[in-house]
Amino acid sequence: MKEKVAGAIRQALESGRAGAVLFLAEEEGKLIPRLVRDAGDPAIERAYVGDKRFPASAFAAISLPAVDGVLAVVGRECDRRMMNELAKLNHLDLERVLLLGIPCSQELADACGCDHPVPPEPVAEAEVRPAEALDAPSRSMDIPERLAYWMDHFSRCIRCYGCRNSCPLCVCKDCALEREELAGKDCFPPDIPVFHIIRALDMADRCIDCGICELSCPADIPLRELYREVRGLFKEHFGYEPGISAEDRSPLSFLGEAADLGAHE
Amino acid sequence: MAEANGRRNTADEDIRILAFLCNWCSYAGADLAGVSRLQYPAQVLDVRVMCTGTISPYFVIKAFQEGMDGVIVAGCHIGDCHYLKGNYMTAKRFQFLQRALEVFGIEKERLRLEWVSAAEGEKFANLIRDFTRTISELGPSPLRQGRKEVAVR
Amino acid sequence: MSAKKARKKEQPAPDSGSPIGAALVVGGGVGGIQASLDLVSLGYRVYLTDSGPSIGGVMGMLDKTFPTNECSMCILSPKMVEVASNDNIEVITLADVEEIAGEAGDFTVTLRVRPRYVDVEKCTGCGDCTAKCPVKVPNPYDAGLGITRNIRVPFPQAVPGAAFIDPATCRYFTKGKCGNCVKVCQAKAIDFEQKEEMRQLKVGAVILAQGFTPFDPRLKPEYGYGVFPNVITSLEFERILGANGPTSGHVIRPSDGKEVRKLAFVQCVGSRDCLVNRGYCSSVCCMYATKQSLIAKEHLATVEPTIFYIDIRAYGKDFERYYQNAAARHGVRYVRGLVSGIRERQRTKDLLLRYLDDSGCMQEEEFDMVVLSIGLEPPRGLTSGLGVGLNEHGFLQSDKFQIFQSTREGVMVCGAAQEPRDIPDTVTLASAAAARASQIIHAGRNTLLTRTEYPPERDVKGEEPRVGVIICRCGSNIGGFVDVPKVVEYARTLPGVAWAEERIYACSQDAQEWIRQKVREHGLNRLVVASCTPRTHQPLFQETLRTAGLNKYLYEMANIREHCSWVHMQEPEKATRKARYLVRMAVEKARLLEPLQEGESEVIPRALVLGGGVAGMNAALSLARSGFPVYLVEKEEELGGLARSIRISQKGEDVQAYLRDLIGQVEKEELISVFLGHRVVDIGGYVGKFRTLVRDSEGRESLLEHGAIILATGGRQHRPAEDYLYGKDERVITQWELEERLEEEGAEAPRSVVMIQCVGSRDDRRPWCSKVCCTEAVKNALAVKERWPQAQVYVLYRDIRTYGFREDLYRRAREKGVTFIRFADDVSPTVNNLGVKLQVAVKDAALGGETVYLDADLLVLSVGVEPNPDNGELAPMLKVPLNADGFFLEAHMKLRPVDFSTDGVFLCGLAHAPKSIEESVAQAVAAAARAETVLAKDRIITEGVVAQVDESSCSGCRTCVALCPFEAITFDETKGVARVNTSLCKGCGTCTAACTAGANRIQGFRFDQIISQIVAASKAWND
Ligand code: SF4
Ligand code: SF4
Ligand code: FES
Repeated sequence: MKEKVAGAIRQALESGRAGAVLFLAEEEGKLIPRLVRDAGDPAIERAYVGDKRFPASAFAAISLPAVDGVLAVVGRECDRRMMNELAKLNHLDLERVLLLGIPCSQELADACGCDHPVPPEPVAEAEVRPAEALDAPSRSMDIPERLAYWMDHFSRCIRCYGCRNSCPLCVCKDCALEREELAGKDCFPPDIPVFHIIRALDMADRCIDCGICELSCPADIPLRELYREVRGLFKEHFGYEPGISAEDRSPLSFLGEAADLGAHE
Repeated sequence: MAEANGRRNTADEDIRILAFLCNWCSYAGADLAGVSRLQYPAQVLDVRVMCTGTISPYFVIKAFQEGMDGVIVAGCHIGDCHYLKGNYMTAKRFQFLQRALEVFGIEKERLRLEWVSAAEGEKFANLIRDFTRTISELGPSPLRQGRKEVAVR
Repeated sequence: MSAKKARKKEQPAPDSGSPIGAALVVGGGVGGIQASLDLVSLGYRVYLTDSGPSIGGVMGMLDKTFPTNECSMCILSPKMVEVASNDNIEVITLADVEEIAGEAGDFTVTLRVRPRYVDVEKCTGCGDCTAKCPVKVPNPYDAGLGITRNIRVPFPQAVPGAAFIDPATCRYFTKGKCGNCVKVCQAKAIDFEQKEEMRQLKVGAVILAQGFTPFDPRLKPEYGYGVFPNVITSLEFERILGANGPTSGHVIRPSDGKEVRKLAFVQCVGSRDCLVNRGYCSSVCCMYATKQSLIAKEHLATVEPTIFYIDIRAYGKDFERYYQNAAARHGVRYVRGLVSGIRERQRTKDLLLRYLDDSGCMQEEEFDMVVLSIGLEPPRGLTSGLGVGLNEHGFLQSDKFQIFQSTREGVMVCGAAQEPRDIPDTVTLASAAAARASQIIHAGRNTLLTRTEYPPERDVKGEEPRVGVIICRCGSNIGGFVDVPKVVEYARTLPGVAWAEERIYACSQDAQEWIRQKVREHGLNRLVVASCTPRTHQPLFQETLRTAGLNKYLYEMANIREHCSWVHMQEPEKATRKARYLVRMAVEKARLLEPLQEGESEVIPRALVLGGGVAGMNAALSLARSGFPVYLVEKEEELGGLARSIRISQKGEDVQAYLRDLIGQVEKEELISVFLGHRVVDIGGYVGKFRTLVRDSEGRESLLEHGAIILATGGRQHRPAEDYLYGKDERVITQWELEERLEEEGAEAPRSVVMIQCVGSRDDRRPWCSKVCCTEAVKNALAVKERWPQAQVYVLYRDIRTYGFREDLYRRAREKGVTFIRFADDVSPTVNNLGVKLQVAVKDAALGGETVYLDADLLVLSVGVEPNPDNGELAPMLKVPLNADGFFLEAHMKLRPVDFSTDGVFLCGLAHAPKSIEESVAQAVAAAARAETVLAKDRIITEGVVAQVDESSCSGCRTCVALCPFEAITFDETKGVARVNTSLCKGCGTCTAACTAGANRIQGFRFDQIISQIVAASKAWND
């Protein structure tokens, strides 16, 4: 696997398909994102293919201006989806990025509850089954119970903004969560549930369920469950799921026609 | 009103409703209800916006956060929006939000989306009457009762 | 000096040679007000005179208006204030025109101005004098029902808002003593020395808008008016319904103050009645009686109104629906019958009404109160000094096709002084008259105007918010249900409030000066008025703010009337509580308000007229004659539109000759470019700067740039495909085809002609009345009788709607032996082809529905008018709405009859609703006037409520770009941020709500501002 990835990186550079490649490298036991332009760069040998994850697409968006031509990115299916979404937000030019897709391990897929562990056209084949969806305890609750469940979790929030900071798709320069009038400025804990609901609503047509937010949350709030429920509903309601393709658009980002407005008259 | 924090079953008196109305239709419809002297419950306060397109879902969430028991979003009928398609977004945003509220544990009945034209004073009055009844039956929002209490349950 | 009062100003001297850029408007009712406002926006100086002490006219006395039931004063008052505060309109009250000398473009008008005995400049309208005046008089504003004092401000919203003395009843003048008022007036405004004076004005044009005089029902002694206390006139009843009237809107009767249960309306009192020499129809009474019935029921659910009528003439736009609803859904009882007399029961003062019912039997029914629906008579003061002709009914005579043109060049007419008519038609004619005036004096445009100088705007940035709060009582409208002092007290405790007080009528003239004073006194930098709806009154208070040197967007309203006192009348405590909360929300928002800048954009001084029919051509000609180039686009290869199929107008004029002449004028007119055979492909841009793409049949396109659009795309005739054998049997024809046949040389004489009314009108699919078919049928029936005197003519009808002077035709037709047979709404006649002849079967309503069989050699269908099928395509391009029937919907049914809510787009002709040729012409010229108000400006000021993108916050996601319904947002690729074109932005905020970055902000409705209202509501509740 490791060789195949390294080979794909070199091939991309040598063939001229990419002007640079972005990947995670293992350096002295640490994982460090690397941007290489030269097929002979020794870092390529150290390309990492384990279960650790990083928001490759966000780094890609940052480094793109420094790259001539196409930037190849070693990444997972999640990264492909992120890139699609970033493109919709006008933050990434898909013409100029190329995914060197790698499959996730079965363990990672199971841990993530991921139903899409293998990207289309991966650089290395692997037998990985889509995993069972993760538990969503809130789903079977009745309404008051559900509120209590969330309030209980939200009440642990320390307003570190970890969820937002780690989210590859939070691109707003000024964040709604920091707006005084909405969730109280700099107050700890934040106003709940407004703080978390606002973020959840904005994720409904954006979140690609990478789960990085939950990993970053020191308070162990089941953010993935929250966002997954909302985006699931969004899909049910509008038939739209973010990430899958770069072409389709969220119904909340165009006016559309009266006929498509659904049951309400 | 400060003592109104305990849960009651039909607390008609204590119900707090906020209505967002677009200037051209629903606000005008409410005006017509007034001009026609149609009587409806007084537990509703309204916020005028030029078009329902202005109304962000944030406002609704914020209203619940602030202890409203019910929120109304009312605008022109589809096709009548003074800004042509502003209310298309309203339809999409709030039809979805109604369902999303349930994900968070808020009854979807607490958010009402309605089209009321400038000529529908009667409809506006009925909307307020009906919604007040609905909310009275649901009781005050749990978010108003103090968060700790909810969290502890 | 207050800018708010009637002022005398020195008129700058006009250039010799060119026409005088000033006009005189005689009559301060709604027509005169509209004409004045139009003229002043067209760039002329205006003198507006009224023979009474205030402008406002009869509309100012009405409670509500049909068919929308809007509060009359509420929509009129802002216009009155606009007149009062415009520096280029001089209001001259208590004035009559003595003489108009000179000629069009250069008139010298002599006015006789009676003394007011009160100095308008000094009087504050405080009412102290009224309180001390010993002389009680019946209040004319309440149609004589209420009692007032001799010295008084005519009514609360009066303009000028100053008191006056009627010397005829004043004790000082009649007995030589008293002078109480002089003693109490602290402003020293009373001046008994004032004398009648003669004033001369130099004007280029004159518009006569004296309105009407109500018929005096004493001339019909059989109704007992003036004898039986419970017989009142409709005008009196209007005042009883008025919340500001003598009974505060309680439906009680004069004799004993008892609530009325059985209420009768007697129609046509002083109308359609040759015995009292009023042969014409007054046009408005059917609708106002319907309206009064509905409002009475609203005020008092137990009222049972019955309307006794001959025909219900619900002919205007949306009238039929209003009438049908009243009958079907609101329990208004309509009884067809002629009331022959009224008797009074002596003890109870109840009334016994005798009437001839439908089948000719005499009936008697008892009522608590009877309202006489009195007709409209010519106004007083149509003296020979005006130099204009009158018609046989004593109204102003006018041109056959241009009904706003009097018999004298340079003198225009509008409103009921020309023919009885309702408010929208009056407003339309007023605009048309203004356009006609402009055609004459446009060379003098802008020569005599003085520009309003607003005091420089105070910079409030960095100042702590100092909010001023006014709680309006609106007489008893608010004050009667909300504990106003309590709300004031509460307001004073709110953070940021520097001053709060109550006021009886915050919108009155003197209140505006008072507000300015308070702004100064307390250093206010935000204003909250808690009163009625911002939809009507915001502009007024914003104007006041400007004159007080503050940006007009530092203003917020709390609607404690429509949304509070009026809807919680039975719960005064809750109403008071809610009023407090609403005020708090407004104050919180006000604290966050910031001054907004209005944009300016240039105007392309050229118009586009869509449709080359009679309406379109008249609109184009009017604009061209006032000096503006016009593109005239017609989809057919020929000008003329629907009128090409009409032979004779309702007034008996040769339509084809008129049309030929009109087309000739259009073709000759250099300023008009005609595009025949062109369709509109796309319309872009906005008021002042439209770009329209038109395409001809060969696909050649032209791009037209213009500042305004007049929509005159017409309607079409209903095609009675299957009904009544039309198209199957050639003896079945339409009225227009009959007109052709009447002109045919050797046409065979029919023995019997049957006409069927309402074909394609007033049915389930086409619920509107087509307005013209009754008159057309009656006119053609007469023509048939003329050409073939032997022929029997039958008109099968439901109501004969020959409104106004058209009634003369109807009467003549009956005199000439035309038979009118009425059928009920739900049973249309049927036709049988018997080979040699047609047989028509009709259930005669007068015979209790018995079937009558009529032989017909000719069956003539009076087919209705339908909306143009293209409307659905045009409406979205123009961004304007259609009504339920498919006609275009104007901005406001009453006061903006030819405007759309989309700026710069105007409406006329059949595209608006069915109407006659003359009415189309009037509307077209009115639309031209309104368009001219746009074109005559060199710049347009755009609203301050627009979206703005804060570049430093914009994350460049482009979400908002796709969401703007007006394509007002573009994306700046170099900076990577969105940008709003404020000329295109209409301020809907659809973009704002989608911007998660909070970069896109809609001014005046910013996130923080709306959220402050939410939080305020919550805080108020928690306290
Ligand atoms: S939605 Fe907001 S962030 Fe996105 S482009 Fe528009 S203004 Fe900028
Ligand atoms: S406020 Fe409405 S009209 Fe203005 S830019 Fe935004 S979406 Fe367009
Ligand atoms: S203006 Fe009413 S919804 Fe847009």
